[in-house]
Amino acid sequence: MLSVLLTSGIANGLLYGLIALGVVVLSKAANAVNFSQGDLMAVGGFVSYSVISAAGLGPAAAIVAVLVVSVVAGIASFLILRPLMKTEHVMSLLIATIGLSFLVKGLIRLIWGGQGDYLAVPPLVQGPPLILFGGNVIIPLQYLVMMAGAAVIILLFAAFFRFTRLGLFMRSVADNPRAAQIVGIPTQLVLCSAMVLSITVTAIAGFLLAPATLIFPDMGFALFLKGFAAAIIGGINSLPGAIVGGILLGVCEVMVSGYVSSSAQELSAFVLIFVALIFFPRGIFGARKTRSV
Amino acid sequence: MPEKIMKHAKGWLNSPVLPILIAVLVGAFGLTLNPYTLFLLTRIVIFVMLIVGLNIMLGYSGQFTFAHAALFGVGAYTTGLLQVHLGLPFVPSIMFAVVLVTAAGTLLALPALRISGIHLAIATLAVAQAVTWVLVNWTDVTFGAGGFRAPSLRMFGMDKTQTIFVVSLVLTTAVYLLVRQLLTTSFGRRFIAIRDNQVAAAANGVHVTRVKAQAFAISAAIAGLSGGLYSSLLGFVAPESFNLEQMILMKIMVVVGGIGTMLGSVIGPIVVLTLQEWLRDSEGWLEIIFGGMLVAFVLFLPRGLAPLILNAITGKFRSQSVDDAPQTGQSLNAAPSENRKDEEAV
Repeated sequence: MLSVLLTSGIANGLLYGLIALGVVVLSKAANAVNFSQGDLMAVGGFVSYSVISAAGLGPAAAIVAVLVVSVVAGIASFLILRPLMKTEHVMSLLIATIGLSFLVKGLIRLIWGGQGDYLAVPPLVQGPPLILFGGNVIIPLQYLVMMAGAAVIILLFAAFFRFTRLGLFMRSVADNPRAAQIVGIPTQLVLCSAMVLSITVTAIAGFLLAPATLIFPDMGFALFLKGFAAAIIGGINSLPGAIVGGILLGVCEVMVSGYVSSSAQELSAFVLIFVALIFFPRGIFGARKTRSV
Repeated sequence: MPEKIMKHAKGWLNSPVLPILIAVLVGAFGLTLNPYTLFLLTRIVIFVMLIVGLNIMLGYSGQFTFAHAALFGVGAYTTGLLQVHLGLPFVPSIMFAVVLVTAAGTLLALPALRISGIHLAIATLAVAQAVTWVLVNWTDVTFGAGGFRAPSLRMFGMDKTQTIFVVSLVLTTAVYLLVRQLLTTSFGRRFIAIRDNQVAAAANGVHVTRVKAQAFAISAAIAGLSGGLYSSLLGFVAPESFNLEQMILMKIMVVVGGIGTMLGSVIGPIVVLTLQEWLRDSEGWLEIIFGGMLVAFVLFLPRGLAPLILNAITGKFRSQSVDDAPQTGQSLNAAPSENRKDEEAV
């Protein structure tokens, strides 16, 4: 019981962590929050549905399609929101991304179906569950794929920030946008790539999540909230914190659903967000600042 | 001479006569309508009241919260459930609902004292989602996701839609006039001071904590009242009338009408609810159009429709003086919540 709960909690938590990575990247580089992120995650799920179920292609084609769609969506979002991507427009940006979120949801509904339509995506791989410790720990293959996928993305992410020039640019813009501009770093490019990166990682999370649940047009926002909660718990500007926060949230959720009641699962996330924001607004890995919120 | 006319026009716009006159005309017109159209009109009237309250929080005090749909819902549920479970009449039920929602709104001000901006938005969002969760899952009391039949008010020999229409119209006009009056007093100006610069407001002797709590309380009280009226209008209360989607529609009403303007609180609901009715059965187009509208307004018309309309009205009087062309006063870079002189008219 406990081991099953833990594995599903960690698998879900890693996906929350991926959404949280998207939140953190955008918050670090552009000091922005994108409410449409969750809906773009849903887009990831729906695109993989179209490729795998409708077109009958393999998971590799689905990954390519998700990447293409998310890069296009990221550049489009950046172009639309560019006039608002300044510190003094934080609230306007927030309202505009709420509009985008609505827009994306409408597009999903237009393309893939109405309110009550729940679509099922077939599992990415088929096979028996992994059995460890003589049957004490049973991990369904789907969770294993989710975890592996999330781990790969996280490693790619870390490598990107550590070893590429663009990653270095992004870190410098996050650190001090003005100074970065003065030394000649193309800040617009950095903002654009932060947006693209944030949406890509979220859409991949949607692709990984889709086979484990049913997908529907309204799925995005609750997931975004959870990703945001994970980012807050980890400290809004910390990349490792996002992953840790995601796993904490995922495990916390399945524990509540397993030992308290399954309908309380949703509630636990909201309670956690609220408590974290009020009492620990800097999170676990957050930098100490005199005035952070 | 032109200035005198101008002044006269302005004074006329600011007197309570005009809103009352409009309300009377709307009332006389509404009573001739068929029940369905009257239902839509009443919905607009109730939302005008709600948005006036939301604007206090969002536009005038600059507190970006997401809990208003939930407060509205608590008002509707309390009013309906007290009648259903305890058999209370409508008036005490709605009065109790207003008290309860005011208390809840004041409690919500507690996080707003510690956090602001995006963090406050997300925290109140979590509260709102939790409230929706309670409405769905506390089935013994709230009847769960299916909702319940709320009794409708009936008075003066009118049918139920007409009754709630007249009651809502009277109360909305009263709330509108009260809030407009309030915002011209020093009490109301403190809200604006906090929105524009919290530190400067505190330095000038504004008790930030208390004023924020007051703004939340007043705004919540209005949400509770409009929620109670809404339950009676709908006759059927269900959680989806108060979910996040409704909250976003309310935000769109505020932004489209004009954030932080009284006239905007009237225009927003008219525009959004009419459009919504028109797009009701479209698959996805409702979201696409409303989402696109919100983005477009924030980018190109951040002060909403109200300043345009006001200028169209006062511009008529002003055009007599030479180069005093009306300023539309919107610029691409002006965020809706900043660099704004407080304007209140009509």
